[in-house]
Amino acid sequence: MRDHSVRLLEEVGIAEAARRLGSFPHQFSGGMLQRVMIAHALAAGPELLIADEPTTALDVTVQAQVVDLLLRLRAARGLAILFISHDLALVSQVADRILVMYGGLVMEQGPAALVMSEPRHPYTRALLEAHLELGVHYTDRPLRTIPGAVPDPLHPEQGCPFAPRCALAEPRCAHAIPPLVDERADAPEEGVDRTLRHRCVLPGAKPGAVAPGPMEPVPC
Amino acid sequence: MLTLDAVSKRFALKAGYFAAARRHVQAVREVSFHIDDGETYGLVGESGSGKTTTARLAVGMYRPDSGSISYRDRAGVLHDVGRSGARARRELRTRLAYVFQDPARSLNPRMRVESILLAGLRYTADWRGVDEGRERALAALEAVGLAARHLTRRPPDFSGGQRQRVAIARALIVRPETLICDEIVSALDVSVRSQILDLLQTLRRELGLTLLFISHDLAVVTYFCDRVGVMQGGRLVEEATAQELAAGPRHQYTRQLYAAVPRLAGSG
Repeated sequence: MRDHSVRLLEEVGIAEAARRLGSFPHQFSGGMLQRVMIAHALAAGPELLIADEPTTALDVTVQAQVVDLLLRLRAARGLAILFISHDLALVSQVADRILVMYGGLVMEQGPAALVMSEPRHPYTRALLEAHLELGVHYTDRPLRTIPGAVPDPLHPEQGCPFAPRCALAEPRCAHAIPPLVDERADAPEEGVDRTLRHRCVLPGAKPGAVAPGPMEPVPC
Repeated sequence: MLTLDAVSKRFALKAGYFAAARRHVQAVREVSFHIDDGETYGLVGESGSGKTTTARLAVGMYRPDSGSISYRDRAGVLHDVGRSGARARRELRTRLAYVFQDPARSLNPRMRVESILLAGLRYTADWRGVDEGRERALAALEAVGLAARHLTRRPPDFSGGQRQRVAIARALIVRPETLICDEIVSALDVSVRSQILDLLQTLRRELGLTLLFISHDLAVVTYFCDRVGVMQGGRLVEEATAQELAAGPRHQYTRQLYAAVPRLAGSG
């Protein structure tokens, strides 16, 4: 049992693993703690690892190390990973497939490269446009924001949950929840499902899905 | 104008009762920089690099072990922040205001928003009683996009973004010249973060605020600031305009930070 624990800690990159087995959580840094949590999750030899915002509280450099570790484990153990994050840039770098959720519903789902380069749903596009790329300065352009706030789960919308914040919304969007449509069902590639699904009546419609940041009375 | 000149600060570590010698951690080492009136200065670095300690030194919350911190207000009066007494600090609190990292922890969940805002004003030289305080509380709340009906609510009734607005309003109630923002968007989702940055943008333009903006997020700092200082191990290791830093950092450590920022893969 002890040997197994030592091997797990070594596998996630903790130095002097045998000695660190006797340490308490507060004696580790944030990044090291996250490694211990990953070792904990791997202890029973799972096939699927669910990582729920595994790097959100970490600095960028430590985040890069933890993501590196997850990718290494994926290759070494043949793990499947469900990676949950609000950071679209991070997801785009680690995932084969991306599923975008909003208000409890799948808004869009498909191969990562396709979702990133040709988002079908206005919410995905709004998220992409709100992403602040390194190198943009406030004197160049205003921030792109998504006006309004996420839906109140106690009072769900009758129609598309994103409709109240969507610049493209039409009257019909507020009436019924659009169905999840299979747009393309390409053959799987290297075992990766290539199906592209979205939940929008105006898939891929372009102009100004995001308002350039006027202040709402009571947002967020 | 806020000026830090070779400022150092160390803290004693809690040692055991029988420890032979007290140990110290050197949080800030000989840090020097200045912020001009109306300028936004960013401090970037990892956890433990000394950003928060530097910010707290800048408002007089901590006293420096060595070096000097001075603030020349818009009326031209020079304040010695590092060596200010109780009376001078009441005065300073009307010029410099601090917005804390985590509103879920820095706002008392049992207090109504009105009391939270009044507390921001009560211990300053500007306190003229509750009636005027209430008027200023409402004005501050409206400035951050909230309304009179929110005065009677408590922090748990708000979302994360709204709580951060309340925290900003508590700082604005003193009508400060300079605002110190310590990781105020770090705990927020992308879309809420943009809304709060948008709000700060409007405020600094309309109120002519000077800002010290602290974040570990290089993309946010280089977007939002005019000049940026990079901290590592308590030292300021690089200082540049935001555009220079985004175009290509020179210091080895900044390059590491830069390389670790996730970028959108393959978006059109």
